[in-house]
Amino acid sequence: MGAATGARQDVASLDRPFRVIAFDWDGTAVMGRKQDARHVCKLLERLLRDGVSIVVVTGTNLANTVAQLSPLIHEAGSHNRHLFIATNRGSEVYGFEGRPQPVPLFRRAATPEEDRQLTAAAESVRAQLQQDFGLEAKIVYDRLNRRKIDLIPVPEWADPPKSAIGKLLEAVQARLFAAGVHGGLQEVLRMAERAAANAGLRDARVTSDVKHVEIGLTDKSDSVEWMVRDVCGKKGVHLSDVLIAGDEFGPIGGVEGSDHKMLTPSSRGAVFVSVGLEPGGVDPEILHLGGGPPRFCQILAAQADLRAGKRPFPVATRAVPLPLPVPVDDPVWTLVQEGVDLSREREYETIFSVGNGYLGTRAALAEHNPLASSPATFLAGVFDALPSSQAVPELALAPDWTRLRVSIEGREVALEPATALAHRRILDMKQGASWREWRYHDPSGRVTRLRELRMASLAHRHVALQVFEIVPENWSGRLVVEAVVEPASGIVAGLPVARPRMLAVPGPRDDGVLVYRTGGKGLTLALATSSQLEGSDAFPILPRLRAAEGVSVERWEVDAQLGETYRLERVASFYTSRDAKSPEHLAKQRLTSAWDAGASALAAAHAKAWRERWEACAIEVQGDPAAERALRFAAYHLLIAANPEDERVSIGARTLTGESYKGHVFWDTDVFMLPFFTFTYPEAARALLMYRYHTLDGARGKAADAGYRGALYAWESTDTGHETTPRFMLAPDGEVIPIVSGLQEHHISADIAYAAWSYWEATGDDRFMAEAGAEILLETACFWASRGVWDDEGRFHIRDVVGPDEYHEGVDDNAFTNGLARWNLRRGAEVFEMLRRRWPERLQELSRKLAIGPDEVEQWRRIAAAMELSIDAATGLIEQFKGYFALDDYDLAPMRAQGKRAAPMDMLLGREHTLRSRIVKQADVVMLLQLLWDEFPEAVREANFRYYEPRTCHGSSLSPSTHALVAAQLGDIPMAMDYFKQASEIDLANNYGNAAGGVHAAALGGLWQVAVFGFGGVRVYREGLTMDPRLPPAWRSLRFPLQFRGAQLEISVEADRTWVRSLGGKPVAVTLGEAPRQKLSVGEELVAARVGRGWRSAKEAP
Amino acid sequence: MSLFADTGRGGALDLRTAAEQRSGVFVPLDGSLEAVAALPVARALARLAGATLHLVHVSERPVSLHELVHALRLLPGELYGSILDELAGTPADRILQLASELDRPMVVMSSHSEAAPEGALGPVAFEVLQRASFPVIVVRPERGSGPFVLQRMAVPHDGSRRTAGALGPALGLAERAGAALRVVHVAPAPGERLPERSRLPQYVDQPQHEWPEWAREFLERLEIFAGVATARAPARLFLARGDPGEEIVRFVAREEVDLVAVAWSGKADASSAATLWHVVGHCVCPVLVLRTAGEDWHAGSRSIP
Repeated sequence: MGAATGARQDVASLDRPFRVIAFDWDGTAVMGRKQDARHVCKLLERLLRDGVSIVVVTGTNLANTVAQLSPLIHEAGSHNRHLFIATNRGSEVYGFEGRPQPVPLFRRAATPEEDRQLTAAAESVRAQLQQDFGLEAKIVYDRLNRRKIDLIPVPEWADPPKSAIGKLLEAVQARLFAAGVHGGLQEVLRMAERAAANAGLRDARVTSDVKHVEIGLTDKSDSVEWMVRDVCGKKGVHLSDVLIAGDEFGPIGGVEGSDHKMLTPSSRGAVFVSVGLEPGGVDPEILHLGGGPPRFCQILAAQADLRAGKRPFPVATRAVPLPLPVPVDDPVWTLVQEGVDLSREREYETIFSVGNGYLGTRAALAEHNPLASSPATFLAGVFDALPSSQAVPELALAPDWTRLRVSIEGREVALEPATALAHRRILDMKQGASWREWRYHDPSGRVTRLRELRMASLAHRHVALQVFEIVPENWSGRLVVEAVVEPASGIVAGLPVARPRMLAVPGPRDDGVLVYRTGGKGLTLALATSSQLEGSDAFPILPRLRAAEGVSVERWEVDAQLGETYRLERVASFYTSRDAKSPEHLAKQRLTSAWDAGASALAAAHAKAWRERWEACAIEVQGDPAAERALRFAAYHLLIAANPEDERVSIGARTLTGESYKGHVFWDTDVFMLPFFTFTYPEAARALLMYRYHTLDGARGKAADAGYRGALYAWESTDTGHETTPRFMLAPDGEVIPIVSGLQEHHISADIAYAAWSYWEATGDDRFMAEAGAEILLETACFWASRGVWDDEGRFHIRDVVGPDEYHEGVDDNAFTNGLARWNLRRGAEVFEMLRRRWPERLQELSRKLAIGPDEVEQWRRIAAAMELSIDAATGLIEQFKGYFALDDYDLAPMRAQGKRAAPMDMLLGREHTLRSRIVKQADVVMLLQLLWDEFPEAVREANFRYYEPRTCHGSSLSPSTHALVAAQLGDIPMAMDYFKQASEIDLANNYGNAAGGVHAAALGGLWQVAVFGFGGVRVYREGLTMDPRLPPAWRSLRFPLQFRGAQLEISVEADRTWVRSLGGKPVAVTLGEAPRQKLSVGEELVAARVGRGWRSAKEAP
Repeated sequence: MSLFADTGRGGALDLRTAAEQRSGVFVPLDGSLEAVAALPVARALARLAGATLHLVHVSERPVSLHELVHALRLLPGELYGSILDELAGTPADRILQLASELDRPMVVMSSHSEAAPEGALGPVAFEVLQRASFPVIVVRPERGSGPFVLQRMAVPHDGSRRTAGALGPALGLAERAGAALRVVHVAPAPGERLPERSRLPQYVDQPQHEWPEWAREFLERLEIFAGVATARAPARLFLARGDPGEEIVRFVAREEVDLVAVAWSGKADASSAATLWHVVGHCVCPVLVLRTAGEDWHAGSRSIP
């Protein structure tokens, strides 16, 4: 009876109003006959009032259907004349004609002979099953024009829900196979067809709903035939204006579904949609959306909106959800936090954050806890300031898109130690996902299993996904779920938040997009979200949008069944006025495409993007899983902070994982994080440096304001590059603390120049150097030339600065500053020559723009040569700044003896005392050694490290990794490991006590450097890459990928063997140990064996 | 969380609502002018808490009501809105007994009635404070008889869960009064050895960022310990360095605090109660003493070696 109906359907075919909508009732419009159908009735009423003809097609009798449709029949009034109910599998049709009583319009009445034949056929099948297979079957006689043969007349399958069709099929087939019916359900159908023919029925309709095989005189094709003839024909409706929906079009157990009967030759041209599970798939001409009755209701709502002239809220037109990934079961790829400790909740929320460089969302409790939890989403580059003259710009709090309210039998679910039978967070770093698993035990004894997944898509940076599963373990009852989007509350963890927030833009919208704006600059965010709840009998209440308040609430009320899984999927799309003038359209568009793809496809694309990233950066450490995991954690958080697609943002000190440091960008990014990106993700590194290029004007302005030339970068930078460091602050002890880093911490200009040069040296990205890097290097060199003064003896001094050791302010000739400034001047001169040689037009352009000529460059060389940076001939020591050696010495050894490697000494001793002492806050001279290693003889490096290390209290998270790196390069592996561990625990063990405010990204970048540059011994020279590995004894091997000048390298270090392999890209020069330099092409491998303290290498063909 | 402790008599399930439970503010009066100094404070707090004000006089022999009003040096109208309880027996015993009969009692009393050494408590006040399981407010007579308006309230805190226990009741009171709450964290002075579980920042890199974050983090953790949100009343964290008692007294004077709430374990020995005795003896404002479980203020400190 079936027939092909036309071309392949796609989701766009629903994006127009239909004049006739026909649909199966049970399983399509409602989950079951006991379900409250008021919601679907309301939607149907809207359509009827608009003149849409509604044809309900059902296998059951009129009384059953009318009971559920009564609100519609009674309230629609005269509009119910467009309502038709085709009952009893095509045997009857009723209309209403404006009255509340049904009026029969069509009836196929069986003759007594036909009735006898139906009974005879059914009984013949039953007898055959009994006699041939010993299988008991029951016949349902009291159906109009048909007989039903129950193939599984057992109590547990007396009234199976539609959602259990898969399990029902398994049970029926198992029963048939066990009895010897090897053809299963199909064989019984053939049996019924033969029996019907033998009984004399000429056009018997044999169908199955899996539980039963039915022999009848009519089926749903008769209902559709009537509709085409009596509705479409009489009203002149073309078939293309007809929508036919069902849930069982595809085959089940080899038998075509009952709704397949609605595909008839006369219905060709209509649009067919299935909202069922369809485990056997559907014909291509049927649009398979899945989602059950909730999805069907969304279709009806969209139709009503279209007729009302509104753009519907994203129609749920998407693939059937597939299983989502599960967390990887590998401890080096996961972080797991067990239990509930609300006092540490905020630090966990930092560590388990998700992000993608465009947005970052803390792993706050979706259900909220106003005391313990700090939900926050940040969007890179969205800075604004509070309306106060003292306020500096900071990252604005975006609306909370993750909020869920879940209540079970009226009691709201909340995380508390007393109600959590088990609670676990899992950060799946491999797949870039954050999970929560929770067994909730309410005071009445109900146990519910909850599971949440969050992702910020790495494949589509404007999209985020949340999945929340609810499983009643020991109860059935009312479950209410609300997916809420709302502006950041202004109350975080019980405290009023004094920071910029994105607030709702007043005014209703009809496209479901929520629009928010920051108070100062008026940056706009368009946020589009859509959610769905999947469950066995989920009863949908469609999104209720209160756009004027910037709040959207999507609410579901479900009679939840014990053991069923209710899965909420929410997709959110973010665009700001930084991306486009009218971000609303983009947000909507992106949401629609993401929604079409479905959560599983989103998750799959996200996982693929993460696979690619990890292939480029995952470090393997055999023998030390804690170290390996710490390195993965570092890489994870660096990756979720970076966005190669946006070169007008950089990475703040605490990334997008917390509010501390206000999202401000420090030298942390350029010196500590950038190498990771340069060698594993050069596109991201380039974007970070381009941010510095685009903020050059701000740096020029700061230099000019201070009376200097060139570019003086902001110590704390946001979107414009202007200085955003506060000048003063009021400490909690009432002391007014002057903040001089914005005024005096000038080394940042050289740090950025160093970063730009290092990137170019490691990548060979000439285009970057010509277009941006050169300008940075020239402008910063220009600054240094104007920043210092000559003395009478011809020495050049830089006075009144703060070096990395911020305990000592206003010092002269800080070694780090002078050393980097000297390097900057020399590289500036070198870049000038390079431009002249390679890009003369660009040099001309820059010379004009920056007013720099050969004379000035010559002066840079003279200044560099005269820069004050002396090394004591006797001791080899470099004085950290002028007068440092005259300060009080202070022995930190007792503190170390207590196991404390880091301490805020200015806090412990008092500011004055610290200023007078030689206590160093963080690596300063040691940092100089790290960055300019080859400028100092080995003895000088050793002497200075041994002198300054004991005097450093590591009052900055930047310090331990620097000490680990320098210790490793000096060959002091035990000390390097000590500092490596300390650096790795800054966030993972919260050993600085402030992880709640966000991860310490510089420490994470530093950790990567320790592994690759320290233990891996990688260094970059103009001639190529060199390696002198020093493996910690506990590490059996260290393996890492590296990108170098267009080559993809893989490096493996073992105690007595090291190899470098080229996996792709350009040939590059590599030197292993003291062996001669060799060129490595694709597929080639360089192997070295340890001999004594060095390495012997040989080039080997693959 | 209520300012008034629940006496929880009998351990039986009490199904009465808060409104049905009886709360009272008791003011011991002995006929001295010093004792009357507690009255404005007691009256204001009773009003804030919706409690009945009881004026309590304990003597060896009963006197007529007229005589009693005169003997207690009450001005006309001062009795209005209150109950006068005249009891016989030992003052501290009877005051505590009477208060314990209510569900939610509080005693507001003068620190002493006769010339006492500077900073000392009178014998009745000392005994009531030591034996009371419910909140007690000690008012120094030097405060005078001016009206009491609660605008600024302070809660000293040493970083322990025990001292956090004072936050809830203090917050409830501040909220009712519309008062600002000052949480003052007292840590050892610079150069002195920190206690094992110091709440001072472990790390101050960029102070312009670290200090506000530390203050926020501190309050947040305090809230979790206390189970209350300070957003209900505007709270601000202050840091003091030095001897806890001296620093609290100094802070109260500097910030013009109207009421300071101090947590106390109930142990009266010198090392446990040193801070409390100093605060009660020297604070210019009334001191609310709240019984909380746990160890008392850290005792002493040593220099960093």
